[in-house]
Amino acid sequence: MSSTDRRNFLKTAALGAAATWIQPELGALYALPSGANLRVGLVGCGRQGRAILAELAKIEGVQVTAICDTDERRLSSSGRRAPEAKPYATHGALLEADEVDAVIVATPTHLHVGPATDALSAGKHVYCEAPLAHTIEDAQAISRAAKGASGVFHAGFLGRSNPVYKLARSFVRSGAIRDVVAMRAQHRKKTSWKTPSSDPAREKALNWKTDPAVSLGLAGEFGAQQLDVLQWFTGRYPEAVSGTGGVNAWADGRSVADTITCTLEYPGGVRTTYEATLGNSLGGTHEEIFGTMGAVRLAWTHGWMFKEADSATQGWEVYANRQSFHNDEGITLIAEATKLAAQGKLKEGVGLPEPPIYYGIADFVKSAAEGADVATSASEGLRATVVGILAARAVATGERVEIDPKLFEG
Amino acid sequence: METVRLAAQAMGTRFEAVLIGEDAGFLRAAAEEALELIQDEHARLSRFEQDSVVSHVNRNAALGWVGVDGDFQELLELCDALVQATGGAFDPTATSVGCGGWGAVERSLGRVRFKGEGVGLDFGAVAKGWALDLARAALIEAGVERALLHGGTSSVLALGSPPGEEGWQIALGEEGGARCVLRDSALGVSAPDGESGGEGHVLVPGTGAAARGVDFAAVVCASAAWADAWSTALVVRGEELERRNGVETAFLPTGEPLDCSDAWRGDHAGVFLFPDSESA
Repeated sequence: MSSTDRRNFLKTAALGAAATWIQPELGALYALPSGANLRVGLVGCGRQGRAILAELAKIEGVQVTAICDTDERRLSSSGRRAPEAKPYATHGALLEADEVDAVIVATPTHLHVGPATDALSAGKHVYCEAPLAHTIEDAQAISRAAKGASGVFHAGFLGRSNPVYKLARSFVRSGAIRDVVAMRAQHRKKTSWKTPSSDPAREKALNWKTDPAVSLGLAGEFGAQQLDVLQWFTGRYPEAVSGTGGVNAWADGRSVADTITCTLEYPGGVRTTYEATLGNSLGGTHEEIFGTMGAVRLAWTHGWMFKEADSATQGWEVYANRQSFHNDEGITLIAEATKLAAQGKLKEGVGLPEPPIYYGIADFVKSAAEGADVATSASEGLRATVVGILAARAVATGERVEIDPKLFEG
Repeated sequence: METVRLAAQAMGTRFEAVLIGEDAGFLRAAAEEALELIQDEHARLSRFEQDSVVSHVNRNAALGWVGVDGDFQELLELCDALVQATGGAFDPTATSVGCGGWGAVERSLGRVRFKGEGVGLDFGAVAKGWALDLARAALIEAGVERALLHGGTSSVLALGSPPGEEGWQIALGEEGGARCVLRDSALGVSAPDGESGGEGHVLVPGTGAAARGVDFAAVVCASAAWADAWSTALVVRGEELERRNGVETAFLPTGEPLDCSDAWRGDHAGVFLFPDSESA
């Protein structure tokens, strides 16, 4: 090794010693097998629906043949993103036309149950956004419909499809952070959660997230998704949840809390603290699992491992990228790190190459078109939804809510 | 009348929105929606974001056809029209030197591919305007009648005018210098050195050299995307473009603001403004 090479090696090795990113294998894009195709219909053309259309366009063999929304403007906006798709005002008309193999349900949460169960009854493959529903009864109805259906059902809890999370989970499950002592998750974003419209009826429909009659609030809309990550990593589901919340940022007459804190109790005494606010953005959205030998922080496009000083050093750490967070250093776990290091591309390889929603949609397409195992089944979706609904109930009532495991059964 | 001001970081700069109307809550929601749309476009169009659509295309399009959604395809069509209109002075492949330029980008329905290695798309000269145009459509759809939006002060979009005013007054350059008035129109401003000075940040397509067409270009159009791209094109090849048919050039005097709102014609034509050096 020349002195220059040695210097470069040492530089690379030194870089690999701080905050460790969790990096998945940067595999090729998913495409359907040659000659195969999947006709997809989208029900619900809001912001999330439009994001899904962008990801569907990347998957070779997928054709978006239908889009559906009761709101003409949203339908028109999504029509520009999917110009070949036929527009429908109702999911019933879309299903009746029978020009889709699969349906993606991205309506407001309280409107999932109709399109999801009808599409399953019609023999379609169904992807349903998370949480599955705003009531336990609706979520159970979806789960039951999925169990008896000929098509695939995929619940849109995205952590389970996220390559960064899958890699991190493999480390946690293999004991890298040893015994889990506590968990924490947060969602912070400064936004009023309001959508403008000069038409009062449309304004009410668009602002379902601040309508206490149908909204699960922050605990349900974000908490269900994030708490599922912790449940999936540890295999533990909470036995009880308590919560508090208030309208601290947007005193505009709303009653759905804009700032909340929940505590979830797991078997064995481990607790998760979940906090969310619409009044501040610090730290954004992430989940953390604390173990006796280390911790992981998961931020959807990136992940890090923080090791305790007395934990064992593993071979791969030599190549790891690191990032400092005040007094802590996180290691970014990078698959193919040796190869990337040799190419001097460790820094470039950090983070997800596609948005998290891509991986959920790609998993669904793979299950629907090729019969691959479903990444998030109806029963897993039901469990995660029930936890979110009961956390929302705890926040709304300020009371401790016990979680009966029977509710997890569809 | 209520005035609501909001800001968001996107595309390496600060976007600001000023909305005027009767209901502050409604205006805030409308401004949030407009800025979220801009941030969504940043997430889709920034070549510095690994998971953007542009990065996705740049990583894969040299290997074969890459599927893109209708909005992205529409942006590619817009860029094609701009490349033609400016005679190649605007080129979204300008940062990939020696790779064939825009001609190396093949498009078919819902797909794009590059003819060779090294080609890359960079929408830096059009994305701010493109995002502002989308934001304007959302504001109009929501029922907002008076608003001013800008991205990094170089891309400006005016909707209606403040109460009792002919339009929104925009100062070009230093205080006391030229001012233009905008109403239902967009302004794009470009200079070879950008805001921070130093080496030129606008590149000449094909050579990658720092552009020195004109020292300062301000373009008023109906579309912020066109204003954005044209201002860059003028910095790249200003004198040549001034001689093209349909291009109107005006020198902005200092002193009284010039109402530029009706200077544009249709979607494409623009008026290209340069501060009058003699009266400055």
